[in-house]
Amino acid sequence: MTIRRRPRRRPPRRVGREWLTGYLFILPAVVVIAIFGLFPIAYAVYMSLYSWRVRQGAYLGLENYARTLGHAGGAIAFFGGLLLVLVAHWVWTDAFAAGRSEGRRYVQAAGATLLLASGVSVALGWQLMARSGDRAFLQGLVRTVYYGFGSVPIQIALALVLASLLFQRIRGREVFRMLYFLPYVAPAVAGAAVFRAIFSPRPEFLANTVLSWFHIAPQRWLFETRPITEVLFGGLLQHLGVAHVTGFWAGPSLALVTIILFGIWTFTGYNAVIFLAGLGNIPQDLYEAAAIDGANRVQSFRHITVPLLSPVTFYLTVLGFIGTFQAFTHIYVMRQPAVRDAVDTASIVIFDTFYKRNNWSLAAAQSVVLFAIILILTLYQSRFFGRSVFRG
Amino acid sequence: MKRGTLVLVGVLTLLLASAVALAQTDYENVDPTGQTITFWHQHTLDRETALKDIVDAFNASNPYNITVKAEYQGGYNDIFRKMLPVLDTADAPNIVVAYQNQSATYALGNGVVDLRPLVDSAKWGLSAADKADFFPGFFQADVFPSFGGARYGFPPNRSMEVMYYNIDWLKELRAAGKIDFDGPPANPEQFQQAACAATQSRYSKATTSGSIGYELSIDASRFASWTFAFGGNIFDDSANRFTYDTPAAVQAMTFLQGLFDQGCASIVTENYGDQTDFGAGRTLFTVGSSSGLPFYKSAVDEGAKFDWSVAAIPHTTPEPVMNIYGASVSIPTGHSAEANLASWIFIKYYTSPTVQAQWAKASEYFPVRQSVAAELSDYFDAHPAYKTAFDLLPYGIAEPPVPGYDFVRDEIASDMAAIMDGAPVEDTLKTANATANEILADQLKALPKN
Amino acid sequence: MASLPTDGARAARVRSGAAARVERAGREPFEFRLSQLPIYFLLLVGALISFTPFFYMASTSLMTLGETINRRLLPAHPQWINYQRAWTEADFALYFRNSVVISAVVILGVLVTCTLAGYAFAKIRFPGREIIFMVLLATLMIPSTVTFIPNFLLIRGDVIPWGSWINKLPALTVPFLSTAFIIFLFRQFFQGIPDELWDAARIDGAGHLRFLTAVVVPMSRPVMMTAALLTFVRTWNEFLWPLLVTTTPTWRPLGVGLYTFITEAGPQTHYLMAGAVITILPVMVVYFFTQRQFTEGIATSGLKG
Repeated sequence: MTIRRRPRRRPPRRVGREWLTGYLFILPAVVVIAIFGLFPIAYAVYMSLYSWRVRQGAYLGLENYARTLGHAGGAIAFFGGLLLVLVAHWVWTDAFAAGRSEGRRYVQAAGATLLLASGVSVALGWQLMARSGDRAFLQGLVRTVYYGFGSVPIQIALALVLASLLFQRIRGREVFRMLYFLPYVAPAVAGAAVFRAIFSPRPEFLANTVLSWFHIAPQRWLFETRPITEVLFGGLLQHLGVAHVTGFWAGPSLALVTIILFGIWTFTGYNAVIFLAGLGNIPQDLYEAAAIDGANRVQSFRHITVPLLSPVTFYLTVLGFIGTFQAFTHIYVMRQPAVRDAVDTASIVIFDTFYKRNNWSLAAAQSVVLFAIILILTLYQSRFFGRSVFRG
Repeated sequence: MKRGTLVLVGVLTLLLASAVALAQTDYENVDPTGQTITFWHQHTLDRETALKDIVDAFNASNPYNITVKAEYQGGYNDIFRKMLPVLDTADAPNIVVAYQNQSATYALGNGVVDLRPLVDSAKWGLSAADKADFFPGFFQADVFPSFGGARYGFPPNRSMEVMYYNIDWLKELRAAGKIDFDGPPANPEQFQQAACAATQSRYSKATTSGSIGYELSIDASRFASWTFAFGGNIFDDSANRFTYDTPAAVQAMTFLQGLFDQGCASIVTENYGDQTDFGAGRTLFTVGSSSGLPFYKSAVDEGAKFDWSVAAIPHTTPEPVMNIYGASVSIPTGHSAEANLASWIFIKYYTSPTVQAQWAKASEYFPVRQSVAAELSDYFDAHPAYKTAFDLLPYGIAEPPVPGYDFVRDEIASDMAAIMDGAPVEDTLKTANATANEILADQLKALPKN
Repeated sequence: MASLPTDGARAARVRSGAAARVERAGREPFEFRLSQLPIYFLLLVGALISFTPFFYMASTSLMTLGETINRRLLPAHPQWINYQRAWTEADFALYFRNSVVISAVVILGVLVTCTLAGYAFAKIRFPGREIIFMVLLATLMIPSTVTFIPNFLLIRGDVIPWGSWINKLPALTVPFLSTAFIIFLFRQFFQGIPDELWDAARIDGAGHLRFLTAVVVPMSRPVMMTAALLTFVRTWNEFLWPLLVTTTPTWRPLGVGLYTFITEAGPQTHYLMAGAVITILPVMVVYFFTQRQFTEGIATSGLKG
């Protein structure tokens, strides 16, 4: 295909046409997503305002939200605090942008104060909510945070290393690439069945056998409700006279950690495939030039690969958190009745509220709350990291 | 939709519903001829084939020219999910497989037909003799006390919670003088004695290390089974509330907790891990659904290869009390009286003795009628454990058919796990019962008021 | 291959760079160096971790039911008949065909709609661009538990009167013809394409559409192939939605077939695993034979800055 040269001059005002082109280009996607993506969200919001158990009932206003979040002041403090972080960051970066002016220090101080205030607000708000809100759901949110922050950074770091290794000129890389992609292709039910077998509490099964090589006692994995800190450092803590670490910092149960491992196993290869596409876009000349300048492999990785892949990393992080914060299938297929609610993340609680408690409107309100949290988290990411990677 | 429209639709629905209620007795003059009936089920593999045969035979033979189409729609939960958005619309199937708590949920949405007028119809219903032929516990399980005694389902098959035990191992223990009874344990004391003895002395032909008396799977149905065996119930039909904290339940859980304290029992730590350990000769007893019979058979045949059978859960009551359960078939609303009648005619055929015998053999479920025994004698000979269990069917009672029971089950499973971990029985059950009744009350708030 | 606008010297450099790379990849033999030993070691360990579960899967698929319940590691005698039974019992032949058709339609739709949108969000300036993008992204953030009922109402034609799509192909394809997942991915990649190329094309008189099809798309082959692959896998393994919007097997895909083997009394693990292997193999084969496409596009971003 050849693009012919045309001597015709462009109209002086092309802006309008540019806009039109933009809108036309996004039109097909927007139509599909508006219908099958936005309408259901609007419907969920609508549902959350009623009493709705199988059939639509009376209008309840915000009652379902009150039931979910408890104390209204607490909820406002919590979400206000989360949003305040964004404001604080804006003030802070704006202060930097202001350059050398005298006021800079004060603006920065204001930003820092705001950040502090937001932290206090979030913590206090959470405590108020935890006291009066829907216990199962709020605890589910905590586990969701464990799940997301336990999975995404590890997945992405592993995938980045993996992709750059797989991009090397090595023997059998086609086979390697295929093997690493396998876990993502495996249907979740089958993958879960296999994973359950590997992490069986029986001492002779694989995970416990591997532990035994290192003289570690067999673990109960998916059936272990004790928090990970206790499992790992229980003896040490007792030695120090600390009987139990409780609350948020005790960490997730070993059962949830096992499910996190399942998630990492599944999605690392998926992330690596996307990284590979990103690597394909980095021109080799850059590496050659760096090599001439005497950079070694690690230096090239740090100074060329990592920065040039940052748009991809950003993409994977944003979608990683969106995905893990509402992860359902991977947890659902692995949860065992014997561990009680130790692995029930917010999305699992929502499912139970909907299908087992038949309370559709409460499930909708819970979903909207989860949606708001994911949205704020995404805004954080694009605020903190997005700017530096959006513009090439 | 506008609020007013909604109210109007609501009122119309109510009127319609009451009109239907009034018209219920009129099935006598309804003509089912030529109807086409869809039947949503969860059966796969051999069961699907057997069901297809039954449906084909019905289609070929029924005098009304009714055509049934049986369609696989995923598992129970998938069917439940598929039903919710089509409740009370023409998209609903004519017949659907549903657990009692699921049909109770459909009833919350006016989505299921009360079968009483059909079952009791002089022209189309069942004779008194026919009704008496059903195992009483089975027949009663689909009557919903929370919905004024409506019948929202009809049983085509059932399973039962039974105790699986290793005959050879028990004999070894008896020979070694470690237990003082023959045959399977009949009461909790004997069960405890054997379980603790087995924990101490390993089965000689076991194919794995370790030895335990009883592997308990954490599940609300195990809770119900043991409570039944101790002479209690988990639900009071007349008061319409859960009774998880009655003395019998406390005794049952204290008994199990005692087994754990003595080290004679452990929790099943894998999906169907008790089948594995039973097959390997590692655990003497397990309690589970009779639908596991073929799986246990495979496990033993390709495991430690010993003689085994099933028996009643050891009980303190004079007669055994067995927990029976299973999905029934319901007729969703949204169809004409003609179609509903045609659906009932198929259900009646499906639950007739000859068809029941055919279905039981192929599906390995229990049939719902006592007279079927005569036609199963060959099958009994080939499957002695099935026969033993079959003889216990008259003692069956069911878990409550209430909406939200799945959610209660999760709560109870949690509490059961906590008790086996050492939580105080009475307090735990008191709280559990309060939670269960709260959940039920919350569900019944959504009850259609008509 | 598209001939690029020839005005800019830079564009020429792009081309020669690409040619050079292709040449290198084609001719240079793989060489084994001692310094690569740690890389091989790491890759092998990782590959083992990735592969072990698949090994279990394949091994279990050849067992008898008793062996699966007894949790054996290897079958005593491989039961190849499991595959035959899985294939016929679950009507895999039909499901297989359906999956192929559904995947093809969805991939095509996604590539067209998301390429256009991703390009617009990356390279065309119009009012509301960031906001619209964020709103599209937000559609990924709500748990599917509560969106299933409204989506079902849409499919049934209750909301928009296009008639009921139940048991029809559109129910399985139309909702997936575009997704913010891929739009975002494309946007991230297209943003890296130097503006100089667009300037050159514009001077040549090309509009956005021509620039997109003649320059951007050929340059972005790795990411487009990747998007196609990910869409393929996602569609291929889809289970719940297809089951909800079909009542007959006519358009049911492979994922539904797999669930046939999970029965109430216990899963028929051997058949389940045989079904899983049947599901996975085609994907792996397709991936294996096309994978060069995934990484070797035409080098471009060297023009940056």
